[in-house]
Amino acid sequence: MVRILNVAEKNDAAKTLAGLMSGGRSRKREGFSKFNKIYEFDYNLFNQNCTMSMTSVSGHLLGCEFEASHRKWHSCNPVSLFDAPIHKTCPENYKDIKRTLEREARGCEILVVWTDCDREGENIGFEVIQVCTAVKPNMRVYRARFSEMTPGAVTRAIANLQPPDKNVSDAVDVRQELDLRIGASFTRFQTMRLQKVFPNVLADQLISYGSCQFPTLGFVVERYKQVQAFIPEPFWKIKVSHDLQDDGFIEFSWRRGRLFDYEACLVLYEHVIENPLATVLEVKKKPKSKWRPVALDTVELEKLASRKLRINAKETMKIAEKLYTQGFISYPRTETNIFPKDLNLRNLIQQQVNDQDWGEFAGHILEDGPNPRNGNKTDQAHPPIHPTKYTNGLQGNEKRVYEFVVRHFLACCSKDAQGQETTVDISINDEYFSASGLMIIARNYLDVYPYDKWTGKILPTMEEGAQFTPRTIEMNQGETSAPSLLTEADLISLMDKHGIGTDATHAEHIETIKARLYVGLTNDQKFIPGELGMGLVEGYDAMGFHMSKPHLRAELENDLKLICEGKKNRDVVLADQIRKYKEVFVEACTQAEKIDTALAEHFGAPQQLSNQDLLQAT
Amino acid sequence: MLSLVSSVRQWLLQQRKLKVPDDWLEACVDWIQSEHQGPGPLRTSDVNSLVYEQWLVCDLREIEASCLPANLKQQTKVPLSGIFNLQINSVVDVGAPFYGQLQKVRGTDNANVEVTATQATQAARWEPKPSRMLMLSVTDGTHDVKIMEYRPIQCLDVNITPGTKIQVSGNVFCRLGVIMAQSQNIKVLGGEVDSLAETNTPESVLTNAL
Ligand SMILES: [Mg+2]
Repeated sequence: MVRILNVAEKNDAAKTLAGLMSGGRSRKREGFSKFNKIYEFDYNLFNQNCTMSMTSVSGHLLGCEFEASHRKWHSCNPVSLFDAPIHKTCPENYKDIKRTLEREARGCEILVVWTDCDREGENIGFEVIQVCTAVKPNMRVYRARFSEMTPGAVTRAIANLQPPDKNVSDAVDVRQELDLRIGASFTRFQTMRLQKVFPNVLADQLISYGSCQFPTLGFVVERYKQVQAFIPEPFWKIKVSHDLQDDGFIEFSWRRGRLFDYEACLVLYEHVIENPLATVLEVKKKPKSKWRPVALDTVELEKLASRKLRINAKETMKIAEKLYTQGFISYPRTETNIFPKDLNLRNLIQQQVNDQDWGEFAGHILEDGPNPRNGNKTDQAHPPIHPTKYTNGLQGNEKRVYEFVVRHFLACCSKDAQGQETTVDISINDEYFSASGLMIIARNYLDVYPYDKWTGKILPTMEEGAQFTPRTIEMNQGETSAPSLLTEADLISLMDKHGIGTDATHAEHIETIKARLYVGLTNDQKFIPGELGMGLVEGYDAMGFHMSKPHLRAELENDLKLICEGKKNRDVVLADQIRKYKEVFVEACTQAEKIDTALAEHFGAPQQLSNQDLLQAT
Repeated sequence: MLSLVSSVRQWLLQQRKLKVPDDWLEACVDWIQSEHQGPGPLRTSDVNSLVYEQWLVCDLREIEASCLPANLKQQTKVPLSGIFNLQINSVVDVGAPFYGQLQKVRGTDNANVEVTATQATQAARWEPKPSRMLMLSVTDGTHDVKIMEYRPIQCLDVNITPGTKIQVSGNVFCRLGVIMAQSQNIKVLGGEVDSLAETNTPESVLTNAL
C-alpha cells in the first residue's frame, strides 16, 4: 500500500486533521519528540487505498544563524554582520522532531504539507520538505490548502492538492535574513556601546534593535511627545436650554461651535440676550442607521478584542489560534473582510441556533436570509474569521473570544440598526442653534452585539415657526484637551496604516518593546515610553535618518509582497535592503555620540570611552 | 500748488470716499512733485493716483488719520453708518484652537495624532470640526477697534498682509468696540505696511494669542 507522510504545523492541528480525515479512528504512535505524536489511518487518495501518517513540527523547524566565526558578540566588528555568511540549522530542542520526520520520510513515497496557509506556514513547509527530501530525494511533494479545520475544508484540500509556493517561502527567507543581519548588527553595536557609556544603569541590559520594533516604539514616543507639547486653550460658547412639557430639558448647541476669543463670544452673547426669543426654523426628520460590523479580519479582531474584551493582541491571537486548531473558528490570520460567494453562510448560522443566548437571533437571520456586510480587502487566501463549529464547552477568555467571533459573525450577517433622527434648528436674534434626538425603531444587529451602544433621546414635538423663550441662555467656558496616549488598539491602527509588520506580527512587536522596557503601560492601559526607549528614539532621530519612522520598514514589507506575487526577485530585494541598512548602520556608528547625548538627558552624564573602548564599540 | 492739493483732496473724497489729514496730503504732493523727473509736468490724474498709492502703503497710525467716532470701546452698542477707511494690523481665526493653527503654519502638524482605533463612522474626532471666524485688529489711525467676521466674508483670510487697507461701509453695529461685519460691509483696497508685515506674521500672531 502507498504510504503518505502528512505534516502539520503543530501537534494540535495534526490531531484535529487526523481526526477529521479518519472519522475519529486514527491510531496514535510515539515519535522521537514527546510533544509531536504520529497519527495513522487509512485513506483513499489518488484512487487508491493509502496509509496516512500525520505528524507535526512546532512552528519553524530551522533557524537562520551566522557561522561560528561571527556568532560570539566580540568575535567581529558588527558591520561585518551585513555580509557574513549565514545558514539554516535545526536548533537543539527541535532535533527530535527532525529525527521523527527523517525516519517517517524514509518509509513514505509522498509528502503532504499541512502547515498553516500563510507566509510563515509556507516557509515552514519548505523546511519540512528540505528535511524529508534530504533523506528521500525522489519523494513527491504536495501542499494542502485550507482555511479551517472542518470536514468539508479538509476534504476539499486533499482533493485539490497543489505544489507548494516557493515565492511566498522566499519572501520569508528574505525577511528572516534581514531581521537577523539588521537585528544582530544594531543590537550588538548599541548594547556594547551603551553598556560602557552608562554602566550604572545599563551594564546588564540587552538593548535590542529590530526594524519593526523601532518604528513601533517610534509611534509611542511620537504620541507621548504630542501629548507633552500640547498647550490647552480656553474657549467659550453659547448654550441654550429649553424646558420640556413633562420634565427635564433639552440643550441646543451653537452652530458656531466654540470660539477661542472671549471678546468675540461676549459680543455675540450680548447680541443674543438682547432679544432672547427663539424661533423654530426647521424640524427635520430623517432615517438614520447604525451599521452592523464588517466581516472580521485579523487587525479588527485584535483591535476589537483589545478595546471591547480588554484582552491584548498577543493573548487574543494565541487564543484564536487554539480555537482554530480545535476546529471552532476559521483561520484567524487573514486580511480578507469579504465573504466568498461559495461559502455556505446558512449552514454556519444553523449551527448556532441552539445556543441559549444567541440561538434565537441566529434563527431570525435564517428566516430573512443572511446578508453579510463585506469590506473591500482580500488576501486571496483565507475568508474572514468566522465560527466553523458550535460549542458551549469553553471557559474563561477562550469562551469570550469564541463568543465574540460568533456574535460578530451573526451581527455581520444580520441588518443595520434603524432609527429616526430629528433635528430642530432654532434662531435667536439671528444666531443659530440646534438640538437633535434619536428614536430607535429597530435594534436589529444590536440585539446580538453588546459591544456597540446606541441610545435614543426623544425630543419634544416642535412646530416650525413656533416661538418660545428658552429656560437659559449661557455663555460657558471650556478648555481644549491633549490627544490621548495610545491604546494597544490605536498602536495597531498606526502599524497597519504605515505597513509595519503584517497582521500576523503586530502583536509580537508590541510585546517585544514591552519586554525590553522601551515602553510601559499606564494604569488605564495606555502606552508611555520608558527613559531608554525615549532616549534611543531621540538619539537616532537626532542623526536625521528617522530609524524610528516607518518608511524604511514599510518599503521592505512592500517588497516582500512583490516577492510573494512573483513580481520581484528575492536576491535583488535582499541585496538592495542590505545595502540600505548597511549605509544607515555605518552612519549611525559615526554619529553614535548623539545617542549618548540623548540618553544622558535621562540617565545623567555619560562615561568617557577610552580609545580602546571606542575601537571595540564601533 | 494749493489748488493742486485741494483738487487731489476733492478727487480722493469723491472717487475714493477717502479723507486724509491735510498736512500729510500737502507733504505727499510736495514729495511727488520733487521726485518727478519726466520731460513734461505731472498731470493731475497722475498725482491723484500716486497719492492714493502712497496712502495704501502708509501707516495710518503715523499720519494720525481718524474717521471713527471716539469711545466706541466704551459703548455697549453703537450703530455705525457711512464709510470708514481702516488699516488691518493683524488677523486671527478664533474659530479653531491656536495651537493647531500654529502647528500647521510651522509645518509641524502630524496626521498620526488623528489616528485612533475607533471606526470612522462612530469616531468622535479628537477635535470637533472648526468653523472659521476671523477677528481683525484694525485702526483708523487714532482709534483701535476690532472687526468680527459675523457672517462669512470671502474677500478676507488669515494670510492677508498686515497693513492692508479696507473700507467698511453701510449700516453696521459695533458692540464693545467690535464691528459685526458681513460680506457687503467690507471691501479690500490693498496696500500694506512693511513694519506690520514683518511683526504680525500668522506665526507670531498665533504665538501671542496662545
Ligand atoms: Mg502559524
